[in-house]
Amino acid sequence: MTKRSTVHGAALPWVAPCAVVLCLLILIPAAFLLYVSLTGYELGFPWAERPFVGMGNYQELLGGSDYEFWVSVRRSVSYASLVTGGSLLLGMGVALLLNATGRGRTFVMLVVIMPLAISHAIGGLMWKLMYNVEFGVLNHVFGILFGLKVNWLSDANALYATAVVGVWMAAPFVALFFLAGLQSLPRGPFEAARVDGASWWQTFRHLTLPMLRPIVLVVTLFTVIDALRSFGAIYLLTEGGPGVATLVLPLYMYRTGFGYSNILGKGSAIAFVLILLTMALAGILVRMMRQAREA
Amino acid sequence: MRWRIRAALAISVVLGSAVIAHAASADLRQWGAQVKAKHGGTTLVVSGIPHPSTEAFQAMTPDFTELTGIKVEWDLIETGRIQSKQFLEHTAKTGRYDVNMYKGASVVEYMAKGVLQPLSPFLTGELTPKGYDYEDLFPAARETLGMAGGAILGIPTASESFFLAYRKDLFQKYGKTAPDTTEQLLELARFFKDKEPGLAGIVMRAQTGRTLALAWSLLTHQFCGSMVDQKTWETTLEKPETIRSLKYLLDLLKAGPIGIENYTWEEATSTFMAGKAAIWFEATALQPWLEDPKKSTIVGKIGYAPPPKGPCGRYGAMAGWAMGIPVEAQHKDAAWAFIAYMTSKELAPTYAAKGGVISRISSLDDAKYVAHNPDFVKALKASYEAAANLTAKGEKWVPPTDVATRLHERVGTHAGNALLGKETPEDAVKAAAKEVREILAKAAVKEQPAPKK
Repeated sequence: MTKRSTVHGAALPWVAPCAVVLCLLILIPAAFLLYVSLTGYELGFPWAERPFVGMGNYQELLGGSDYEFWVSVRRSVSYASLVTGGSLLLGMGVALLLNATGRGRTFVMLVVIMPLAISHAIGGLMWKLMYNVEFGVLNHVFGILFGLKVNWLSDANALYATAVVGVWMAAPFVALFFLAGLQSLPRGPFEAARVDGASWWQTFRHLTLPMLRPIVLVVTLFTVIDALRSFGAIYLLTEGGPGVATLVLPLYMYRTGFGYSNILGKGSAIAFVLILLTMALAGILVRMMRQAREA
Repeated sequence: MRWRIRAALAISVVLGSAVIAHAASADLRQWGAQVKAKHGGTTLVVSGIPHPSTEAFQAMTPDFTELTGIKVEWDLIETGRIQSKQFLEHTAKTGRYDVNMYKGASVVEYMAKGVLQPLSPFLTGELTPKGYDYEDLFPAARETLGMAGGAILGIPTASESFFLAYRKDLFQKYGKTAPDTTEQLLELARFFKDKEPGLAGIVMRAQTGRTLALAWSLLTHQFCGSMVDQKTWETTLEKPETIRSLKYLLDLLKAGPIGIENYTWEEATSTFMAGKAAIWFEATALQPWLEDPKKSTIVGKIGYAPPPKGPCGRYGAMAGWAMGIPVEAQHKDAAWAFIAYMTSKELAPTYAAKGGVISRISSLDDAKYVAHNPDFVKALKASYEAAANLTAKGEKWVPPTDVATRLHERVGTHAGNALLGKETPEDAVKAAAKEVREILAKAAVKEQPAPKK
């Protein structure tokens, strides 16, 4: 018996409980999802009557005959990019401010993390009211200041408007992560930079950011995954519309698998593609994290 | 002092019970006793949506429990989710619900999927109160909302049609009269658009997708168009008459408020109630809210009119909600007792008085009901007649197939592209027709309604 296999054998009892839980909660449902995606099952009909279609659903989705699928992929990527970019910038800004603030930090932190305490459903409804063309507070303010009535959820604006809500929801989490990172950085290099007369920007660009890189990557990973699976707030705000303006993959999955269609087989195929897409992106980010650690 | 309070409470409970017992006729009390003997203590679970009819039923539930001993739990689910939820429970055979409130337009889909129990044996059985009078339910509603494959699967609980409501004060101010034709409606909507600060000419549901398709189908027949020929089951979307009706709808919506492409009935109604629109083209079931001072700022300023007459006649929708018993229900008899009580002829005036959405012919002739708003009742009758015109042609507002919802979803998505200016109406109907053909080819059920008056 080699030393390696002895180590593996010794680890088995410790890893097994976790592996069993993972199997029960993740692998078995994922395998079932994959199986359903290979059928043409429609919700409501007897389960026994499900036709096996093999890769039919995937061919329909990936072969280009389903125009809305590719639209929803593009929307998901755009939405995730906007939300990730926006929340990283905003979160970093808030973290830097909080890190530099002495008095009142607790109060500011409480205000900042408030969106975290609000459920996506409530947040979505709140923003829907704020975006309302006729009665919304945003148009009320815009009306007073500029005499404007903006259609926030129009075909042209809806994706950005929903991304703003996404940023509002994600930024506090990002800010808290960055703040923790900033506070754990060693003081020495910063003091040396100050003595050398480095500007704030130079310090940030050449010290803070490189030292925070692993944290930035972890936060990006979480935010991208969260943005790709966003559903609740977008559903409440626009239901994917108008038209297909905000039809991100989870919304398209819901519309197909439940909503007004109930074609669970194809809906499961969309869900599986979403999982693969998320895993691929996560894989890239994890590799980047590993490279950052090794560097 | 304390015993006096207790005594007063006891007296009021006794009096309260007496009032309940007195309110019900001898027949109903006898029926209640019979039900109580067999099913007293049962707890029913009813799946429903937030709706004026649900509110009325909930208000009537304590009396039902008092009379029959059957307790009722309501599981209220969002309108857009209830169907999937009920199908999910059916597939999983959970037997979670004893009563399903369902969208009447989907009755054929419920039949195709075998979700609901046929109700004929219950209707003729002893659990139906004397004088229930099934024939008194609106014939078009019985047929459209409750029947599929020749079987009675549900009882209409909220028979809605669509009609116009307009601001009488504004119409008087500008010397206008209620629209009667599609031409007049368009003209008036355009006239009132921005006539006063922030005023929309018209509001109605127009959210891209299924909602827009439903709005469009309110006007197709007026122009001799339709989405599907319900005899041959060929799509008729590309007919010039259907395209004309779409163009008319798009013109009408241009007189609507900014962002109408996101309007469901909810936004349309709240905008009208806030006094920000001159005309409202929506479901009759929502009328009580327009006249509710807690919700509306235009109470007493509203006139009503039936849906407009087009070049090919006046047609209307028969839509709404019904209640049925899932095949897996655990308490089918008690469930029927609940449905029968709530939809009985004897309690129809109570239901209407509590804001319910009527489904009985006798309610339309009920003096008290008519007296509370004669204009509304007149327009309501005319709207039902317009709906009956469609039934007389042998067509249903929603094509009677199990894939109707999916069909509307696709048609409404393409019509939405036309509304957003991304496609011409001609291209939109061409794309929609292609998808409709594919959907219809996969349909399990395509009924052929016979012309009925």
